[in-house]
Amino acid sequence: MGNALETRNLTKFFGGLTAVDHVDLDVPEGSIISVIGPNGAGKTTVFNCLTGFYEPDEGEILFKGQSLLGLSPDRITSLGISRTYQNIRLFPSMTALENILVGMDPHLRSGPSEAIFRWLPHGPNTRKESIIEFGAFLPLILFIVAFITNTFETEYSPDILGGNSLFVVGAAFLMIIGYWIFGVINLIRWVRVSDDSRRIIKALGIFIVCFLYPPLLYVVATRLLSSAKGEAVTSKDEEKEALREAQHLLDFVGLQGMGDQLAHNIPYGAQRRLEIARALGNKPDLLLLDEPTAGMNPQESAEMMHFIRRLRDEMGTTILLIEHDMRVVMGISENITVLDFGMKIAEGTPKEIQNNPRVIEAYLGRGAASGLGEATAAA
Amino acid sequence: MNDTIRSGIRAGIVFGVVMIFLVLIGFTVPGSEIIGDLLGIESELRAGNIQGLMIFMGLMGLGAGAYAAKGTGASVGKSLASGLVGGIATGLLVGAFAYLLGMLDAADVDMRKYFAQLSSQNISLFLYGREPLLGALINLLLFTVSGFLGGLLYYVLAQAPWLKRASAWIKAKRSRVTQSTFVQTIRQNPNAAFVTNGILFLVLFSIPFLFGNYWNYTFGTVGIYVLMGLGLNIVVGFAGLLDLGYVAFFAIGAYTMGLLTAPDPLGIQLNFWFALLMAIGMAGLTGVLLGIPVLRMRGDYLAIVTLGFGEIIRVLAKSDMLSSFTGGPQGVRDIAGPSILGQPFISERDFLFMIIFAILILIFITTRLQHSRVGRAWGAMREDETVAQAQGISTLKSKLLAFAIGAAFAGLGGALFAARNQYTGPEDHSLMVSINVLCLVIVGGMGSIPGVIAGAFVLKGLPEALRQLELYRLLAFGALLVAMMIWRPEGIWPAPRRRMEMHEEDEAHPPEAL
Repeated sequence: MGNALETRNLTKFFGGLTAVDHVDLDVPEGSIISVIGPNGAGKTTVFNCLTGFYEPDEGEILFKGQSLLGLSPDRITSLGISRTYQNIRLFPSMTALENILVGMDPHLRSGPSEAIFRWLPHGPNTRKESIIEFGAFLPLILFIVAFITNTFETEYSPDILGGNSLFVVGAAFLMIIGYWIFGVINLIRWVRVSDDSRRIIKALGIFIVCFLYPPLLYVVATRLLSSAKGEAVTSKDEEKEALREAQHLLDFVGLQGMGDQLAHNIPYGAQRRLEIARALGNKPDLLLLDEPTAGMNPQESAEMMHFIRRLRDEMGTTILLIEHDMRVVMGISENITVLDFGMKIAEGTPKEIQNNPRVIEAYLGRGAASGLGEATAAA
Repeated sequence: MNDTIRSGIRAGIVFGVVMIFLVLIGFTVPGSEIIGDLLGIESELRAGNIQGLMIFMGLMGLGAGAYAAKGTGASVGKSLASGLVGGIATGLLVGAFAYLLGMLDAADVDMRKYFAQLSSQNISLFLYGREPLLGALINLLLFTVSGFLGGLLYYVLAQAPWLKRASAWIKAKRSRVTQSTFVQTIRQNPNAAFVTNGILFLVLFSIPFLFGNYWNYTFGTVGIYVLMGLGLNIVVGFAGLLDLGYVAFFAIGAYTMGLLTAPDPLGIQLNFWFALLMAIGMAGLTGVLLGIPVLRMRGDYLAIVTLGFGEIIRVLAKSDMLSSFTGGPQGVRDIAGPSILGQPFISERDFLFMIIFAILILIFITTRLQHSRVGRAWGAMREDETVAQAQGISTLKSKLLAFAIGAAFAGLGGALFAARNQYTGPEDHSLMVSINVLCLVIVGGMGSIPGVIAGAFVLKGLPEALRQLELYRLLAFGALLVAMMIWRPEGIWPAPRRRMEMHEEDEAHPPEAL
């Protein structure tokens, strides 16, 4: 299998401080990889670079072969990377379900107009169709421009169209008629897709209302047609489906029945899991967990460890993990990367890392490491 | 015993100082007149009403007594004693002040040099038309008695055990009614909503017929503020973007309406309805244009920039440079009103109809947006912008959308305002409008639609009802804001979510939002 994520020479400076220093990281698809290191080693900075919070100063980040450099956090998230935070950052006064629904945002399509007209299916899927749909509003813009340039005969009036305004208005009229004709055709096709007799009445209503601005008929009819073909859904159906899915995720992380509680009212451990559920709402291919067991007792940590493994096994999510609890790290990681002062000092399986003198030195200091070395030698 | 006296004296100082302040600013005159008018007492003075003032003082005394009793609480004796002490302390302060004023006035010192409201007339009103010593004693007596009564009142209202029993009884009755099968079936019946909404609409649309022109005009003003409040509620309440220059969009709506329909200065004279659409569109577009440069700003910085923007629009409209375009300081006159099928539609009643209709549409739009993906994205952005973006929400789009929709609402309000007055000028669009709208959103309850309406009635409707207090409007406004922020920070009619946040300790049962 290929790498879900790889970084090459990832470097980030804060003023004179090198927070991350030429770090190479490979995260194979479907694996659980840990990043460990003492406090201030630059682990969270790596996460912040990966998710677009920080712009790296040097190096390259590839997610499934695509560079993430220069992309905004929301773009990166919609490519399929989700994260959680070291200090829980839920939306405190939203309910648990709403938190998850926010996490599902990249997969939802309805915008404001679909929210207001809940029977209107969402917009086109391809770029070409979007351009055609936008074209329906071009005549309106042309009219307004022509109107402004011809009517405002003051010293401030812009003269964009010159003497061509008659031509422009004519073209706009032709466009309107064209869109209207195609709109009527699509509306008839929509009515004929099913035998539902109520559709005729609906279609008639739409037909009449759209005389306010005829090209609108094309937009509405085309969207209705594509929803009848199953290529688009209305905001109402989408919300219903999303709510069902969110409920399912809530159950998956074991928070049954807490959906309507405000996020800051639920217990600490549950908040951690809610944050993971929110991250899963994005259906991520790569999940970045920043100290998921921080502040938990050993039993809770063990539960969390099993839960993380279950995530990978049942959902196939690749997991990159920052963790301090060595029992968790050694228990679930397939590979461990150790950072110290921003530099990668070791990489390997849990076994190799446990015996690596440089790692021990980084955690316990030089003297302790040499003492340990002597003890091992003596034994 | 000790804390009784301490609490009484504290209440006495607070209420005494407030009372002296009210006398200094001359509030006693309109205050006593209003009470006199309400109770139908004829005044024997030209300014002020002696019996009215006595009642006013008595009410203050009741307040002092109750406040003092609240400090000690529990037993009857303590309540009464601290009420009495509170009354005496207030009375001593006020009485001493009255005596001082009376003596100064008797010595022909012109107090108006220092306090414009302290004319001989007002001072003599304060002394109930008597000699200084007698007037001071009347004050003392009045406060003593009313303070004692205040303590008693507090005990009866808040401490007495019958009250708790009564409230428990009411609660039980209420829950029995709401849990009863009859109410439940009505609630679950999908047609019930149609019926209740139908009744509500009937009531709403009969309002314009029930009142005269003056009240229709007043309600229209309140309605226009509701329109703006609904818009600002989206920007501030839902999306959490503090906009202090909201009046800019109102101005753009008003000026677009004015310039497109008035004979001067541009002479375009478009149809009202077309100009209305243009005004809404124009304001929305400006919202986006303002939104673009301030996208990266948060909190205070955003507030400052928008504040500046609001002033820029007003100053531009007023400036000589653009006066051939905007009419300059004179503004735009003879703005056209709407007509339906050739019938002019321009009386106060017609406009009130239109405003109510517009409010209903905006409420519909707002609710739909609030409970959709868009509303959720705004909520997430308000709570934690960084995380919202990391969850895949395009904060850029969400912010611009909030600005555009909020601005379009204000544009609609501005256009209706201009058309109703048939005039708009730079002075209609001062900073005070922004502050008023922001206050009504906050006082009503951020993020709550009924709150916006309640806030508009309190902040724009009440001042109309209490015309006599016009001079003291800002004072009352400030006092109201301070009081609200202390005792009810979530607003008059808060969104269920915010109520839960602010009063968590009161909530025994799990919340049921969403």
